[in-house]
Amino acid sequence: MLEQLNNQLYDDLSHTELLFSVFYARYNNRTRSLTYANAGHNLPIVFRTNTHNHIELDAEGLIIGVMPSITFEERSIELSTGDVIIFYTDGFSESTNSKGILFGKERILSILRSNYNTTAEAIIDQCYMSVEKFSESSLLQDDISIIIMKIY
Amino acid sequence: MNFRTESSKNATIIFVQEERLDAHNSEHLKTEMNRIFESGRHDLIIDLKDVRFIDSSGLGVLVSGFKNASTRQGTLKLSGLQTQVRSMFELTRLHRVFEIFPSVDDAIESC
Repeated sequence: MLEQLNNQLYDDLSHTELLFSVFYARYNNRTRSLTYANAGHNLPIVFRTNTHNHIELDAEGLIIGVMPSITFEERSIELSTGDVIIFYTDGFSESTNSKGILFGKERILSILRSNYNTTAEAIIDQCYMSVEKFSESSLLQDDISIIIMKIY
Repeated sequence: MNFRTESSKNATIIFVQEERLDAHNSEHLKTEMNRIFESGRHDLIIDLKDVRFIDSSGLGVLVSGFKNASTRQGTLKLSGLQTQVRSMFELTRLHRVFEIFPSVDDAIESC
């Protein structure tokens, strides 16, 4: 899928001199298996409710638009009840405060640790409230997209 | 954008003298790279020792410079990558595309 995307878009992207990142995932509800591939995107975090450990999902590849032909690696992970997965864009982790400090992955993890028991919607709300409070402004420097996936 | 351009025997070096290379200033770097290419010099080193933050615009401009250099049978190398910048290159796997050197002197020696 990512290989085709890169092949098809490479010429256009070269022309416009743009790049973009993609994280593509498919979830099988029956087997609880999440299969994924990555093209230079921020690594989604899987927060394991039973152990409070976390894993970042990464797979071999390259951001789209750099080379005409790339081979992407496909990986998969088994998910369990209570697991929370956050998919996000760099505007979230790279939000800065007035001192130039980045919001960062640790703060994202902290939100998951404190809110994993609530609904996916409530976790997203907490993400936006946290970053707004952290950046001390309601005006963000870059757009933010967040997806929370919770396994029941 | 603050930068300084120097010529050595084998390459032209652009020292990026900014803490951030992002959507606000990456176009200026692109303009300077193009100016150097059009003057007939095709081997470039971009020194990022002062840069503490890079975003996708910054990466895009470096990739575009890399491709332009290649079409002219030249090279574009990078030096002095700091922590966050290095992480971005690793996340996007661009560290496998570019030749990256710890210091500008190392990059010059390789030319």
